[in-house]
Amino acid sequence: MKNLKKTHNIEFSHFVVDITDEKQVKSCCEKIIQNFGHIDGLVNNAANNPKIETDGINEQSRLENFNIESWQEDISVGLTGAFLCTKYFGEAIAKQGGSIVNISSDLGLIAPDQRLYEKLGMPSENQPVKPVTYSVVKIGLIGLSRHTATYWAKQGVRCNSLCPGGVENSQDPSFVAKLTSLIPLGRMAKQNEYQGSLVFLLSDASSYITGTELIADGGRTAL
Amino acid sequence: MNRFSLANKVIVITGAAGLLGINHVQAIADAGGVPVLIDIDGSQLQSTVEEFKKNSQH
Repeated sequence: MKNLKKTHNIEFSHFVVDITDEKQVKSCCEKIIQNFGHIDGLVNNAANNPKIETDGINEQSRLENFNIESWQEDISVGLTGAFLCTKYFGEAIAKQGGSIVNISSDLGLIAPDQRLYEKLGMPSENQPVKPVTYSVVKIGLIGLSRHTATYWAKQGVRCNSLCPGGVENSQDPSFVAKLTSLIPLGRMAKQNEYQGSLVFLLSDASSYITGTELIADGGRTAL
Repeated sequence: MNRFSLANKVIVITGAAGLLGINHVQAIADAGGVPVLIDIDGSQLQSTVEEFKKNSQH
């Protein structure tokens, strides 16, 4: 929050919503339309960050140990939430046209390289991994984008996925070193480095782009 | 004409109080859009909005 640029005088309207609760999403949508009269865009950005953790005995992130509650929670926020927001906000956007952006990931395009998450001294069968739900949610969002793009195309709604790579956030230096060795630009993304891609997809600058992915990953998936 | 303008566009952002969400809100505001912030974490959302308001020009 320290590096926020000065912005024009806007009200920053905000709502506390559990996007997995259809009633809350519907009610929020009605309030926004009452207040502004229209909705022109949606960024489906919310997601659980699946935990990579151990219970001391079994590494819970591993597929064999991944519990159904974690699966359901991650899918609920990442996919059901995006579906419900698309259902209500998208219907409003379809009244006059607009743009929907689903925030996927480079891991919506490729499998995670589990060597990145390995811990020294752990037996291979107990090594932490990037959980299965991350891949499923991020690839699912690409499917949601394609469906939405074609479904509301005649109503002037464009829908695309933004596929960002990892963002610098004080990660362990050995993790960063391993990850950046896989990235042709040789570094992780800065936190504000997706702003241009997002504005491009939301604005008329991308008026003939729909149902596709904008990959902003420093070249990782080009390898 | 600025093809990248979001002037007067009302744009809903979910997870708006998170690390990337804050940057999405900033990008939309910088492009002239009207961001509508949604998050499940009320206190984080409130502090995010207060920070944006503090930084907005009057």
